[in-house]
Parts: sequence; structure tokens; C-alpha cells
Amino acid sequence: MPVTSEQVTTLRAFLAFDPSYERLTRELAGSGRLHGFGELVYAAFVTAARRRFGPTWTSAQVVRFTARARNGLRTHGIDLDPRATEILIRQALGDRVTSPYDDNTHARVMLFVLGELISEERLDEASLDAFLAKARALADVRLSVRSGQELLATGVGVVCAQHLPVGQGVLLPGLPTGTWQ
Amino acid sequence: MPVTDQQVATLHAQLAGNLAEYESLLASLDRKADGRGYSALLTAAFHNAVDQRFTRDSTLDEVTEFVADVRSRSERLRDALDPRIAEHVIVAAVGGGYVHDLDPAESNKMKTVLLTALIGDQHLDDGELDEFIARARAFADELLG
Amino acid sequence: MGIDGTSGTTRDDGLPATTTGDDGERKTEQAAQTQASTNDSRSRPGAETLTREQYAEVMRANGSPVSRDNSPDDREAPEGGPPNPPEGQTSRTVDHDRAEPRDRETYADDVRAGRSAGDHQGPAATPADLLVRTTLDPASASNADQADRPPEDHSAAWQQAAETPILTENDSTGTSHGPDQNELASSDEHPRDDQRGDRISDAGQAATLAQDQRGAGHEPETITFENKEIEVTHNAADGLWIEGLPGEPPTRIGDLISSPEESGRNRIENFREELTKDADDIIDMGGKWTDLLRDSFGTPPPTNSMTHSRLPEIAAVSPEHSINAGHGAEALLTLAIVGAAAVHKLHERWRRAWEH
Repeated sequence: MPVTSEQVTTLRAFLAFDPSYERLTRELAGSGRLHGFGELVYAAFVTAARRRFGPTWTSAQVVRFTARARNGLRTHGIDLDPRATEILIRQALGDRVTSPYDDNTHARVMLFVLGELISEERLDEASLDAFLAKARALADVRLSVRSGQELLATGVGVVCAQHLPVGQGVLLPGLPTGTWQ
Repeated sequence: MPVTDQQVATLHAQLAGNLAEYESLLASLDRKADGRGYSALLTAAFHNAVDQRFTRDSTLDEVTEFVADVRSRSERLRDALDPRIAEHVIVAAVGGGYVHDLDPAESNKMKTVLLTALIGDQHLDDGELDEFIARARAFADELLG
Repeated sequence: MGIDGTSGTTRDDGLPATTTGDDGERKTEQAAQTQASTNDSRSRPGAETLTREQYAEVMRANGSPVSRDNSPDDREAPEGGPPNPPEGQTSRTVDHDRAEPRDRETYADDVRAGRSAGDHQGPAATPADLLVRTTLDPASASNADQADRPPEDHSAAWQQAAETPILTENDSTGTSHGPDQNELASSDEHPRDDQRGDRISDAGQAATLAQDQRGAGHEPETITFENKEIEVTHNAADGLWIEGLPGEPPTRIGDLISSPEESGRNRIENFREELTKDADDIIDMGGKWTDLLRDSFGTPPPTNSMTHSRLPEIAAVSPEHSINAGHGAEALLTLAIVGAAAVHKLHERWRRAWEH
């Protein structure tokens, strides 16, 4: 199931300084229509991080960015774990590092760092929409692949595998293209 | 027992960047006979260096930035220094204290590395380094009673 | 930077904002772009939400103060030094061994006596001489004990007039606001960039730290603070809360600093205790840090660069990196738990940055 417009709208409200974010969040949480939201947040975080630090990046830049973000957020009573933040940014940039942190920590770091990154970009409405559209598309691809993997694991059938590049994760290696059955 | 010349020479080699000599001199120190004196010297030097860099008017942001600057110098430092602990150590030092429950190994690592960074950033000449170490020695002797 | 990071726009430093990867990456991007164009019409905000410009107008009309944005990170030259293999950290699991909760006064007494940290020599295991000098009016702090605090004193444990509390990822309340939103709003009137954060006070007290940093174990415990149960993990990574800070303390914190009190210690005594604690280890361990010391001097060694030359493809699936689909609720929970007020303040910060 792909990312929904409701989920995009909720994340957009958060990133757009829109006070409706709280109502939208509660509605989404209460509705149970959460599947995919985590992927959307992740995709937005990765997309924003790669735009910020790409194409070449150094560990020093990540460390310093994290420190600056922490300083800024601390004034609002939010103290991001610096190592968690650095690890997640590095992962987003393709660094092979394991995060020992739980999903809640991941969620907080990604959301607040995403906010920092987006605020730095100073996107107008159209740009924010375009950014979220891209993140949504990436999330949908990932959800689709994951769904295929899950079905494969259950022995449902041959996955119609897109020719996805070999990155950090496992991308259905060795499977022939085919159709769902 | 006051700080010895050998202990001072060890710290001097460390802060001068003569690290091969530092390792050699450190290896020649005796764990029992020299541990307390060298610990006093390191502690005194560290706190003096912190006082030179940070004051009561310094901000936590500045401490965070300094620690980030040190950790950004290499991936080894990035991984070896927990930023929150390093910040905590410095803030405690500014306040005239120390982090009580910090493991001695971690505490010594923090003091040794942060001291080196603090002094290295000052780009002291030989005379200034000698003066710094002399003051640290005097302070250490005071701590040793 | 352009809207689309893959469009080949340049960054401030002139480097291209994107990389042209191999075919695989382009196909991934193409798949994303195709879906992006399809989804675009479905991403419009609802009629009830304000546009960014509208919201900004509303806030300006309400007289929201303006502050300067943080200076951008400098994109420095690649540094030297051999890249270390990435390492995972040991998981930080907290033993939720909930003992009988102590009330605040008992906890404060224990902290001062060092009992809260278990067997522990020396004075009160009071954490940080941490800072927290605020621009806020100290009298506006919500804590009733504020008036009882000793005046600013070099030998005093804490500087009063604290600002926002320290919250961490593990904190579930995320609130620094409660009845003190007005105070926090007033703090926004001061250009944070000039102040560069909270001041470090001359607290004169030692600080305790994480359970995993000392030999003896410091078990997490639950205390009662202002009729509220707070889990104190004794893990510095979980942050600190200083009594007297405006707002409510989190329900879970590394250490809670009790009201500052003159303990009779001074620097000399503290440092003597410190050097004694650290003496046994110093000779044995010193030689193991030579590489770190070399790096500390800031001179990049003539070995492998720490620069990562290109961004690899975004993996289609990397469960260890993403928030699992089943944990999407975590993200929402974060938003909700952080609290509308906290995010509102962040929105103020980000909005001002956006306006400049």
C-alpha cells in the first residue's frame, strides 16, 4: 500500500510550520492509517540529507552540522542524541554504519533533523510540494519492494522486480523479472 | 610526593606533539609510584587549559561547538569521544568540578585528548608551553598536598 | 539549491547538487519521478491548512519576534585521516528496575549525599554544573522553590534562572513549556545567535554520569517530583533536568539535579578527588591514545581521505536504516508526544530561518 495523501499532508504541515499539524497527526494516529508514514518520513529525511550533503561529504561536516542543529534545538528543549543523529545522517548518505537506536529515536532524529534541513533550504510552497512528491515517490518504491520481498518470503510467487541498483540494502539479488501470481 | 621531572617530561612530550617520546616516557613510569603524581599533573593541566578556553560566561553552545570541532578532526576522534560525555566533562570543569561517575579510563582519555586539543589550538611556542606546564606542575603539587 | 536535487543545480560552494550515478540510480530516480508526477496532484494540503506564506503572515500579525538564522555550515575541504570502519554501538538498554519511588525531598537529600548514585565517595552526586543561565526572568519560573534558591554565588551549585530543560530522544513528554510558554516566547525575542546558548555557571559541583561509565552500577530508579513520577536512568545520554527550570520535567531523564546547595567543597577538593579516582588507570591507558592525540593536533595525516566521494544509490530496502512500516506510529507518536507547543516553537525557529 503506497503512501497516502493524508500522510503527505500531515508531514507537510509539520514541515510548513502549519499549526494544523497537531490535528492532522492525531487524526492520522487515531485512524490507524499509518502504514507507510514511517517510510515517508525516512524517504524525506534521506532525500533532504542527500541534498544537503551531496555529492561529496565528509564526516566532519556531519559532526559539525549535528552540533549546530543540537544547539539550535536545545533552545527549544529538544536535545538530540548527537551520535544517533550523526549515524542516521551518515546512513542516509550511504555510509555503512549500524544504528543501535530504537525506532522512536530514529523517528525523533529524522523528524527534527528533517525540519532543520528543510528550514535551511527555505523552500516556497511549490518547492516543498515538489520535495514531498519526490520523497513520496521514493517511499512508494521502497514500500513496493518491501511488499514484494514479504510476499516472496511467504512463497506467494515471483516478484516483478524492478531493476534496482545495488545499494546498501538487499535488492532482490538473482531474481528473474516476472509477474505477480 | 610532588610531581617528578619525569612525569613533567612525559606531559611535555605529549603536548609538544612528540608522541613517540611521549609513549616511551609513559612506558617508563611506574604505575604505583607515578600514578598519583601523573594523574595530578594531567588533571591540573586539563583544568588550567579549560579555564584558558572557557569562562563562566561561556555558553553550552560554545562547548558543543568545541567538542564537535575536536571530533571532526578524524573519524577516530569522532568514534572515540562521546560528545555528550566530553561536553559534560568540560562543563563540569568550568564549574570547578568533575564528572563523578565517569569511569577512570574514560575520564583519563577525555582529559588527555581534550587537553591536547586545547593546547594544540593555542599554538604555543616552546617558552609558552614550558610556562603552561610549569603552572600545571605547581597546581598539581598543590593538589597533591 | 534547486528544488530537485537531481536536476544538476549547484550548491553554494559550486559543487553540483547531485551526482549522476549509474544506470541503476537513474532508474530508481526515474521510478521516483514518475510516481512523483502522478502523486503531485494528491499532495495538496487540505483547505483547512494554511500555506506557509499565510502562516507567516498570521504570525507576523501576532507580533512574533524575529531572530537571525544560524550561520550555514561551512563546507570545508576534505580532511585527512584514515577512515575507520564503521562501528555499531552497543545497544543502550535501560534496566527498568523500578524501585519504590522516592519523593523529591528524599531524592534531593540522597543526591546531595551521593546515595542516589549508589556507593559513591564524595559529595552529592549532583550532575552538571551545567549552565542554564537564561534570558528569562527568573521570577517567572514555575517552580515554587525558585525563591528559595541561593543568590548567584561563585560557590553556589547552580546558576538560577534556568531556561528550557534538556529533553532527549528517550523523553516521552518532550515538553518544556507547560505553563511557561510565555517565558519561552519571550526568550525568542532575544537574538539567540548573539547569546549562543546558555551560559555555563560556576557551579562548583561535581557531576555524575552514565551508569555505563563507572565501575559500580547505577540502577535506574523512579522518583516522585511535584507529584509526578519520573524515571531517572542515571544515564547521561538521557539528559539532565535541573530543578527550578521552567516547565515540567520529562517523565524519563538521565539525572535530576536537585536544588543547588553549598556543599562546602571547592575546586581543590574536587580535583583531588578526581585525580585520586583516575590515578590507577592513567599510566596503563595513556599509551593507547597516541593516535587520538595525533589527530587532536588537527593536522590531517597523509593517509586516506575522510571524504566520501559520492553518494551511493538509495537502497530500495534497508530495514536497518528506515523506520519500519509497522513503526510508522512511532513517528506520529513523536510528533504528538513532543507536544504542540514544542513543535510550535520549532516552527517559529524554522519559519524565521525561512524568512531570512
